[in-house]
Amino acid sequence: MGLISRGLEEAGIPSVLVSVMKPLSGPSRPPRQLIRKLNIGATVGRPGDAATQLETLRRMVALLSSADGPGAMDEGT
Amino acid sequence: MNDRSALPAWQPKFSEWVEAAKPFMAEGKAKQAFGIYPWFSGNGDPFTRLSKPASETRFGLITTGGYSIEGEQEPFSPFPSLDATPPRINTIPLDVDRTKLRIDHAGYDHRFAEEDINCNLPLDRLQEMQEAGEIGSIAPNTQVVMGLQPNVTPLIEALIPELVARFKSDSVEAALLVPS
Repeated sequence: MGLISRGLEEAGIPSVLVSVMKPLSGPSRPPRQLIRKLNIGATVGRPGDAATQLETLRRMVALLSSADGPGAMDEGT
Repeated sequence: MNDRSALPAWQPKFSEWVEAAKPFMAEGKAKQAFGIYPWFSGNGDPFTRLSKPASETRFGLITTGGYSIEGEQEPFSPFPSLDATPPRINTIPLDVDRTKLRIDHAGYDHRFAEEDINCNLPLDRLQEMQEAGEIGSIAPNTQVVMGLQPNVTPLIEALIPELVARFKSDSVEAALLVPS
């Protein structure tokens, strides 16, 4: 996903990646990533947990807007 | 400088890895195989600013959830390919009949997504954000690709340009990437 993110940016499309495995997503140097302590297979939030799912998406959108250079990261939780 | 320009230096390392990893793969020892994997490092650090407020922006979604539409699209192979075949992209329309969605992916437990698709294909949440005015709009199509693609050559040369073309065709202005 990191390489896809980089390719989109190079083509002029800003992008943000959510990751639950920073050691795997980090080496490819994605332009923006949100690090979440969530499960593989439920990277936006657990089933039925709309509040967490919305929080993930809102933080992704916020990072898209606030990042001022490559390697931007939100590592809150 | 871009990631394509870094491929010639990486490809011999990948070829060596394929040979070294084969015995591990044959025994199902993926952890050992990827323990010696030559991670690709691209050139430069591309970055594009979001040029307008999120509330006026059209968002596109990419997921690696392994989704396909039963009877209309070929299911994904659940295991990664090492050859140079261009990876497939399945396009899922916003108004898809969700009872026809199937998941083929060996890398994660499907139970979460089978119970609530929003776990890794958050279309309902994005529609709520659109209705609330937090985002401008959602692209009419979600693009589904497979994660963990060891051979990044077809990824960089074929898959990424195709994703860009599909997003531009849908007038996507910012991308949300959700791995599984």
